Amino acid sequence: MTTSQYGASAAGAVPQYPLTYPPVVVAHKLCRRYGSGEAAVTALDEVDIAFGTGRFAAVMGASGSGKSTLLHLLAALDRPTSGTVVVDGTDLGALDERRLTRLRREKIGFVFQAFNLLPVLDAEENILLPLSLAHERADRDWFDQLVTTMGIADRLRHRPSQLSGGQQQRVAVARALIGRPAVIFADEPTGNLDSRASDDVLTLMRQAVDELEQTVVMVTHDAHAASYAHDLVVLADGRVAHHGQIGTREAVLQVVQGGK
Amino acid sequence: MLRLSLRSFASHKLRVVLTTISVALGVALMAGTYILTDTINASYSKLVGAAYAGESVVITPSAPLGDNNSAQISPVSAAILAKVRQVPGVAAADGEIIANAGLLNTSGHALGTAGFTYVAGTEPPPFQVLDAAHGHLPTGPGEAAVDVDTATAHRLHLGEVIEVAGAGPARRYRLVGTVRFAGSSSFAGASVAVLTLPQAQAIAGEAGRYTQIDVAASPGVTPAQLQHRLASVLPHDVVVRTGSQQVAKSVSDFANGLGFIKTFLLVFAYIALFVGGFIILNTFSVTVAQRTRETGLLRAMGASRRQVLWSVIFESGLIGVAGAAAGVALGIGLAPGLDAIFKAFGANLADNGMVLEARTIIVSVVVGLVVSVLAGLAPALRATRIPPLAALRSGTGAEPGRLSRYSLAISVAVFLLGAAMVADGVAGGGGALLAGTGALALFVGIALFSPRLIPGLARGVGQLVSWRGVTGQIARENARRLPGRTAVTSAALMVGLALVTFVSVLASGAKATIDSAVNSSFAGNLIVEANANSNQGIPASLAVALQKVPGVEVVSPVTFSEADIAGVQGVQEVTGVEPAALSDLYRVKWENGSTAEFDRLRTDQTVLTQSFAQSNHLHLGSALTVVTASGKHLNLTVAGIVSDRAGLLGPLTVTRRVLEQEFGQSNDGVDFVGYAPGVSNRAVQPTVDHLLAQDYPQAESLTATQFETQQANQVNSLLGLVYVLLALAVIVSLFGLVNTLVLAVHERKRELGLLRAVGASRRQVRQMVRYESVITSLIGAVLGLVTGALLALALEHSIGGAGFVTSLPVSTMVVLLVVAGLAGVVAAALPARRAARLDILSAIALD
Repeated sequence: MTTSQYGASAAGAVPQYPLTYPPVVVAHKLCRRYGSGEAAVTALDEVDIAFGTGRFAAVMGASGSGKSTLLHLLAALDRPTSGTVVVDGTDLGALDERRLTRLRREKIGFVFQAFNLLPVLDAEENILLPLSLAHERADRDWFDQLVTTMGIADRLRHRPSQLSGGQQQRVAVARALIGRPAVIFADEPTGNLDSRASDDVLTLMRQAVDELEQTVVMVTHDAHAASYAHDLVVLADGRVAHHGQIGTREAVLQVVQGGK
Repeated sequence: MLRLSLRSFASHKLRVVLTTISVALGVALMAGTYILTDTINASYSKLVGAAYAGESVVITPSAPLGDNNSAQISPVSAAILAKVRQVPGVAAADGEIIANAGLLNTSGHALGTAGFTYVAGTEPPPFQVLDAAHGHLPTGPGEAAVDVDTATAHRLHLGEVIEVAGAGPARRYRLVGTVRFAGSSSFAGASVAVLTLPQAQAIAGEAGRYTQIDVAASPGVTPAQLQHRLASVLPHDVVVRTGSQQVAKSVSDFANGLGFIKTFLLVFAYIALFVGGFIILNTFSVTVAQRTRETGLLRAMGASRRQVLWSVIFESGLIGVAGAAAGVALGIGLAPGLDAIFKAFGANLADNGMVLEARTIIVSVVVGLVVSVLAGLAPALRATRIPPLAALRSGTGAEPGRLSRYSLAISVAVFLLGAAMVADGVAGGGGALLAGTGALALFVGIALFSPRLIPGLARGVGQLVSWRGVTGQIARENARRLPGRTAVTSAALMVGLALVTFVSVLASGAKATIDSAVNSSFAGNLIVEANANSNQGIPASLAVALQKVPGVEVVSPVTFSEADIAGVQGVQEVTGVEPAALSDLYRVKWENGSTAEFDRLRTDQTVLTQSFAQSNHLHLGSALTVVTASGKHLNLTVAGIVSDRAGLLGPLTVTRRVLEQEFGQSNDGVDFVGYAPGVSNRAVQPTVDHLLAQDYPQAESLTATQFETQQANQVNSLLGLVYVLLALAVIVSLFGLVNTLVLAVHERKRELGLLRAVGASRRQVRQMVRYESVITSLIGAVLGLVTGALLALALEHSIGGAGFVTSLPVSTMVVLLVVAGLAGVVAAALPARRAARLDILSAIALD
């Protein structure tokens, strides 16, 4: 256990990050085990964590550390073995399948690593998809502001196959923001992009938080990407090893490497 | 490589099952048809073999025009029987009679199935094959027996009275027994009333005559010797056969008669197999596309193109064999079902014991194999064009084939070839086989061309679901994104629906044509014709009886027969009329000659139809030599040429007396009845009906409107049977639709996961799949309706002639569209459930 990449400190008391912002996502004693009996694997082990409104948080960790599992549980894509998740005041455990779908639609935005867009819809239709599914009208001003911010205003009639990888991800970010969700979960949003396109997308996500007052929780294994965030969470072996404010890439690397 | 094929089989069970079913259904109909007809033939030949056990030699009327014409008076007379008895070597000889007759109970209800009811006379030993199961055989003029099956089916009791109607007024008999034929409880499914010989002769209108003389040889005389002796002393209008020759002839005649039903059913089996071929083609196209990387890897590791080719062909062959095996098994179950369908539509075929011949299995497997391998060929060839590079780079597909550049030209060429074959088959005398093959080519041509139509059609049809917002839009776009695949899927549906539309347009045209022809030609008040109790026309005495009904002014009996005409191919229909009476009640257009001349038509004169006269270069005054159904030669002069819209008159029309005397035609086909001026139908038809019910239960009276309704019902009844059989092809294509959707759902897992993650409910995911299915099936329906209607209109135009009235069955076509849409919903059930059940996480996780 203690020989993990993130150092011995992870096994001890977790430094509690003073949450100065009202929490929008709160997990309590969150557990997720896969399989049963001898073969059971604990991906998340009694995790307590909260994410503040209007913040950009990066979740890091080695593969197998539980960072993707955490994201899936927080985003109502998967159900925990035990523990609770509260998103914007709603306890996910109390929701049935139908209400979970509605919650995803109304309170959560997603940006995945790849395959964010439906190939049969153009950029605008993809952005409006969550609203269309809910039979809701888009707020045109908000839409215009988003596509302008994301720099895709002249690409709205294009289908995903006609867009570059960076443009596709920017459309995906706009799609995630269109419904003004309580929180956006991003899973390695720049994993498939070159560094320039990556920087663009990360800058835009940070802008969305700073200027448009959105909340983003991003899973990444890339310290550079994490350096765009306000807060950093490091997971190791299914537990929270670090939770704190960050600034530069160097600072992030320092935390991740456990002061080596 | 083979192991690879088997593996991929095992890992895609649903796909394999769906494709196998698409082959199995067609094979099942084929195997079921063979089993049914083999079974009927076998039971018939067993029966006939037993029935002729006592005969050495059999004497029957010769049939100069073939065996179709049975209404002629038999030349096998008592005089011939007397002559036979004097021939040395004849130990015993007796006459038998069996003829079509209506069997009824005293309230006029028919016993047995229409067209399959007979009257037979008893015979002394050794020829008697009847034995009484209950009671005894008839011994007096008022007595009758019926076969055990008919007695059971209609709960007839000994002592009850039944009516038998043949060539004259119906007669009443008391039931004194139930009989078996050569030990069998029915005569190959027919209903038979057994009377004493003179009574049976009277009913058949053959007093003093027989349909057959049975002869037993003296000891030491072989059947062949006796046959030779008899043939040399008997006239040429009878034929002498040995007992075994007669059995062979009877069995082969029966098999030929059944051959029509066999061909009829097999046509639908091949249609279903053709549609199944589309399904296989589609499935393997998708499979090959999905396996592009895997195939590239194999190629990179050194697999040759030929190995890739054979692995796909082997896999499709496996489907074919599996489908055929399942099909034969289904066919065994289906055979009794087919029998039931035919019974339901009024054709009674015998059934006892099931005959599964090796031929049935071999043909089924070969056909299943050929269809699936042929269908798998194109995808297999495409697989060979996948380069090894495809293993490394996703998005590298098969290289385009040499022919792909010409796909438009090829589709048009195939379409035109098909159209030409249909045209030649229909109008050029190429025959039904050519026309049928041409129609299939036509469908292939449309299927090849249709990918170009799919985007537009999908957009158009997709408007139907646009009110559903984004789910409708996504469904529509999904239907358009792979036009080739949607095209093949909907083409499979198109074939079935095109054929349904084709027959319904033809049927609708036929009904409209009948209505218009009757309205323009029939000037009388009543049509009296044989009803379902008789297939042998109406007694000649009926015309006389009708003439005596108060209010009736004119009765025009019309008689039908056939003749061979010197210099003209094929047997021609000859109509016998009372010219003056017919002119009063039936209108024709005189091309040459006039009604006035017609009224004086002599017995050595004939009137021709315009089409017959034209195609044989005959005109007024031409001389014809005619061989009648009874073998007589007649010389006739053309005295007039008419156009007959309603088609009552055959190519030749003569006076009724000629048909009676020279053709030996004893029955009339129809009596037209005209009322005296000012007499209402209400005053006459009930009296006529009363007369018919009393004395002529084998006939019915119809007003023009009733006649039209009755004709329409007959067309509808045939139409119903065709619909049932075509439904199979449609069902096969629905399995194809299910398969395509399942494959699509599998391919779009990630998209579906994404949709669910951004808030699509399961219901919305199900809707998308359902709408896509409906759009695809409606595209098939639109293509099918248009193709079928155009084919039918073209056919009507080319063979219907000027008198054919075109009528589009709009309501039927609307119903077809709705049914196609509903079928799309049904087909989507399973794939939609699969799509909705997809776990979001596994769907969006990277591979």
